[in-house]
Amino acid sequence: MRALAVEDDPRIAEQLRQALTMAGFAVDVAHDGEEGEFLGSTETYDVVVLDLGLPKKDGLSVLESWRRAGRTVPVLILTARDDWSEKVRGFRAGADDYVVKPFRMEEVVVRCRSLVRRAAGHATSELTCGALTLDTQLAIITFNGLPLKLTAFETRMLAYLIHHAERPITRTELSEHLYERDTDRDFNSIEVIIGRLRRKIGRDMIETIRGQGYRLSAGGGETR
Amino acid sequence: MTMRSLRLRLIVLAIVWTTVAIIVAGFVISSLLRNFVEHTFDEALSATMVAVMAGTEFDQAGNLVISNSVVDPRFDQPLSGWYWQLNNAQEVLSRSRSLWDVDLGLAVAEPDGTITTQEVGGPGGEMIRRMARDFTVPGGTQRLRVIVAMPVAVIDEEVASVVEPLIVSLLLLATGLSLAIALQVHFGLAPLQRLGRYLAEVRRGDRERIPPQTYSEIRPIAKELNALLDHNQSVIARARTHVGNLAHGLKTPLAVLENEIAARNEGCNGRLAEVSATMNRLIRHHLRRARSAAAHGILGARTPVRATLDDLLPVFKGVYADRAISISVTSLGDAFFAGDRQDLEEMLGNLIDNACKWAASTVVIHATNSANSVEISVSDDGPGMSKAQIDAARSRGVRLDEAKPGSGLGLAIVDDLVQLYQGQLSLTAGASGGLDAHLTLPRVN
Repeated sequence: MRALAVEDDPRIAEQLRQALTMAGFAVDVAHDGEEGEFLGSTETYDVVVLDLGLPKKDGLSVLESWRRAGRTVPVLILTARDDWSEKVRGFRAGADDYVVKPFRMEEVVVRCRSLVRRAAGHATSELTCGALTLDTQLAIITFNGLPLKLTAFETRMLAYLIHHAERPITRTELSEHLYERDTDRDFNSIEVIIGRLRRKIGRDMIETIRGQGYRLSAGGGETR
Repeated sequence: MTMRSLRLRLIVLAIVWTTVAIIVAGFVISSLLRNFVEHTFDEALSATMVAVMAGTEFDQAGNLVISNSVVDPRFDQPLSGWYWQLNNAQEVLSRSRSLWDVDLGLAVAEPDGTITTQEVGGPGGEMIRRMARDFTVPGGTQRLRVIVAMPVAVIDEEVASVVEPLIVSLLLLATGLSLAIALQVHFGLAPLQRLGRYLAEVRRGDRERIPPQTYSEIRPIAKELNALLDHNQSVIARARTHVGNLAHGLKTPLAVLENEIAARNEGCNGRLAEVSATMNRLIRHHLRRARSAAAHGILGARTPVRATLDDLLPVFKGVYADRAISISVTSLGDAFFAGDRQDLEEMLGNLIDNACKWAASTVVIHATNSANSVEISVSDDGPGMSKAQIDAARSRGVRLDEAKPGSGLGLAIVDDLVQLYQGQLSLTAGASGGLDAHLTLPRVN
C-alpha cells in the first residue's frame, strides 16, 4: 500500500511519514502544492493525505486538478479550519474524508486504512479470503485464526493482495503499490516475496497467471 | 431633525408659482377687458355727443337753434343715468328728458377740442361716467359745452359678465395645473422611490445588488451603493481570511505539540494533553466567534436552505461511510435563510454531525417555511438525551461521551449562532426515540 502525504510543516510531515510507515504504508512526502500535485498525478497511490493550506498551490486546487484529470485515489484532507464550509468545499473538490488540525496521528492512520478498504470496494473492516483474515483497522493478518509472522514488506504485499483478492494483479501494478518512489523496483524481488508468502500461507492460494501476474483466491488453497 | 418631504416641497413651490402667475394674469386680463368695455361705451357716448353737437346751430339771425337728434330711449327715462346736456356759461340750453330740471354743472371753458372723461356722482345718487367737450358752433360766438353721461353700473355689469367666467376658467386652470404638477412630481420621483425599495430588498436579503438604473441622475447613486456593498463583502472576506490564517498558524504547531506529547511517555503527559486540548478548544471557540460576529449584519445575505443541505450531505456520507447511516431530507417549498451561508452550514453541520454520531441507522432532516421564519429539524433514531443531559450539552465544551470523537463545542456553537440571529434551538425527544433538534431562524420573504 502506498500513501502520499502532502504537508508543508516539516514536523507534521515527519510525524505523518512515521505514523503511516508504522501502519504498513510505503510513504512519499511532498512539501508544497506543486510537488504534491506532480507526485499525485504521476505516481500510483492507494491513499493521499492532503493538507489544504499549502505553499505554491493550495490543497483544494491540487485536489481539483487531480479529479479533473480523472485520478480517483481516495483523498483525506487535513484542514486547520474547523468550519463546515471548509469541509463542504473540500468534499465538493473531491475529498473523501477529513481530519481537523490539530489531530492525533492514530486518527489519520485509521481513516487512511478505511479509505483504502472502501476504495477497494469492501464495506466491513475485516477482509477475509479463505483462511486469511485482514483486520484493516489494526493491520493484522491472521491465518486460520492465528497471527502470521510477516515482515513489513510482506505485510504490505499480502494486504494489497487481500484487498484485491480474486483479481489478477500484474507485477507492474504490484510494484507500483508497494515501493516508495525512487527505490529500485525489480520483479525478481517481488517473486522472492511471493515465494516467501507462499511458504507461510500455502502454495496454492497465490496463483501465478502466466504472462499476467498473480491472483490471491480463497478456493486455491483447498481445491488443489 | 424633522422629516420633510421632497415631493411636498416640489408641489408647494410649483403651486405657489402657478397661483401667482394666474392671479397676475387674471388682473391683467380683467383690466384689459374693462378698458375694452369702457372704450366701447365711450364710442357710443361720443356718438351721442356728436349728435347733440350736430343738432346745434345758429340761424341767420344769430339765434341758437337746437334740434334734438338723440333718439336713444334710455335718454328719455327720468334719472336713468343716461344723460346729455348742452349749456353755455349762464344756463342750460337743452338737456335730455331723463334730466328733468337738474343740470350737470354750468362751467364752460375755452374750447380746445379735448374730451374730458371722468366718473362722478350723478343727480340720482348713482355713479356716472361723463364726457364733456367745449365747442363753438360755426357762425356763433358763444362758447358751449356738451356733456353726455352713462351709469357706471352698466359698465360694471358688462365687465362682470365677461370676467366672472374668466375667473372660473382660471380657477379650473389652476386646479388642473396643480393636479398635473402632483402627477409629474409623483412620476418624476418614482425612480428614486424604486431605488429605496431595491435598497430595502438588499438589506432584507431578497436581492444581492441594486440592478442597473436607466436614469443618468440615479445611475451613479446605484453604482456607488453597489460599490459599497462590494466593499462591505470584501471587508468581511478579508476578515475571514485573516481569521483562517491565524487558525492555520496556531493549529499546526499545536498539532505538532499534541503528537509529541502523545509520543513521549512521560509522567506529566495527562496534564500537558489536557492543557493543549484546552488551548485548542479556546482557539476554535474564539476564532469562530470572531468570524461569526464579522459576518453578522452582512447586507444582502440570502442562503437557500436546500442547496446548503445538498452541499453538506456529501461530507457526512463520506465521514460516516462505514456506518451506513441513511440521511434523508424533506423540504416543503424553497426556504431562504436571512443570514450568512457559512453560519447556516455551521449550525446544520454541527446538528447533523451530532445526529450522525448517535443515530442507529437513520437521520431525518426536515425544512419548511413558516410565516416569518425557516424551520429546520434534524432528528435521529439514537438513544436520545435526558433533560439534564440536554442542559449539560448546551453549556460550553461539555462532551457527553468522551469516547465519541468531537471537540465538545458543537451544540454550544449552534447556540451562539442561533442567538446571534435571534433564532431558537430546541432539543426534544424525537418520535423515533432519538433526539430531535429544531432550529427556528429568520427567513427571507
